[in-house]
Amino acid sequence: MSNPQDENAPVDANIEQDFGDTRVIHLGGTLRAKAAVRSADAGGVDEMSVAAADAAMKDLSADFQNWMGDEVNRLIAAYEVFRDSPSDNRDVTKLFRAAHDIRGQAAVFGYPIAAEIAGSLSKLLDKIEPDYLPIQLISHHVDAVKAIYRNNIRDYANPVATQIIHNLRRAIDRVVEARQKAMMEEMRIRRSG
Amino acid sequence: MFRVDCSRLRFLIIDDNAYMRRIIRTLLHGFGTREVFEAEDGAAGLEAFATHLPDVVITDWSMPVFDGIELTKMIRQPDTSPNPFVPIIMITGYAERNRVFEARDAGVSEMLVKPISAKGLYQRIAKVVLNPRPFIRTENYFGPDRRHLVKADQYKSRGMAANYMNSGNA
Repeated sequence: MSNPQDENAPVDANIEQDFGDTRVIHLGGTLRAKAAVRSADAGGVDEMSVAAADAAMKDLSADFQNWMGDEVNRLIAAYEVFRDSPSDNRDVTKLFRAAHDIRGQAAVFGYPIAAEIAGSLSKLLDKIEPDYLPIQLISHHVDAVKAIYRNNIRDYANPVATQIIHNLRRAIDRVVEARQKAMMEEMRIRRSG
Repeated sequence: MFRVDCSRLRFLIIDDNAYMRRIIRTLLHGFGTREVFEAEDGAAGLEAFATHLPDVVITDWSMPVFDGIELTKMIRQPDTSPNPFVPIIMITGYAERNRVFEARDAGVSEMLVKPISAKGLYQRIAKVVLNPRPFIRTENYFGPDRRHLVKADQYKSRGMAANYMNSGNA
């Protein structure tokens, strides 16, 4: 193999080693040869590129409030469809996806508390079967995300917001724990019967 | 030291959320990348992968119909994929340990947990370009070595194979 530290080195073919049932393939460095360049930056982080990307994100951030509004509206719409469906035929997929997207994006949009509440909701929807989901608790989460967005609450300095997070999280832990206990009991009865 | 010149790389972003695709695209353009392709679900992503032959795939986990895990497994088919070695960076809201293992076992190269940042994304790109892990092929797995920080000379002797087989790769 040529020296992988040399950016002008020719691209090597992959090298394979055979250990019977297992083959180890050392990649030939195609991408490295294509895109690696010498840099003075310590730790291999291209500070200029990162700063340029941060600046580009800052320009984009003018749209974030509207984007967050769209995501909150999607959550509300998905919740309403879920709530109005017959209780034995509820599809949680769209509601979960809406909550999961807010969990992942709201912090980037500048709403970390909403991200946290949506994360709790995602956990609830992920852990409990649709037939056993408590509508009231889901409703509290959706209302909280909506209120945080409409009141433009963006940081943890707001004591009401942090108390809401705490209470919702505790309520979810109780629901999940109760459901797990019930499932254990159902299993025990099935086994003994 | 080396850095990655992202202007020389072609990326494919696969995410069903248009805002997330826009954010990732903005970061990549900030890094200097010119060639960025997008797909909004796993099936379209697989088609775009075969058409555009990206150098790096960035995918979401949770997508309708065909998710990021299934997509990764399809790309890591050594006999049918146009490039089974392509680096796959998975961007996800899932941070739980079992989820990380699931992504690893599917053949994901790197994970980046949301919220996404410029530095976090750049670091993952630098890692897959500058220090790619060796690939492993067994009866049940094809993908990057599931142990991190593997040195090439660890594989030199046949004696290492037994340790390797016990590491979770087999």
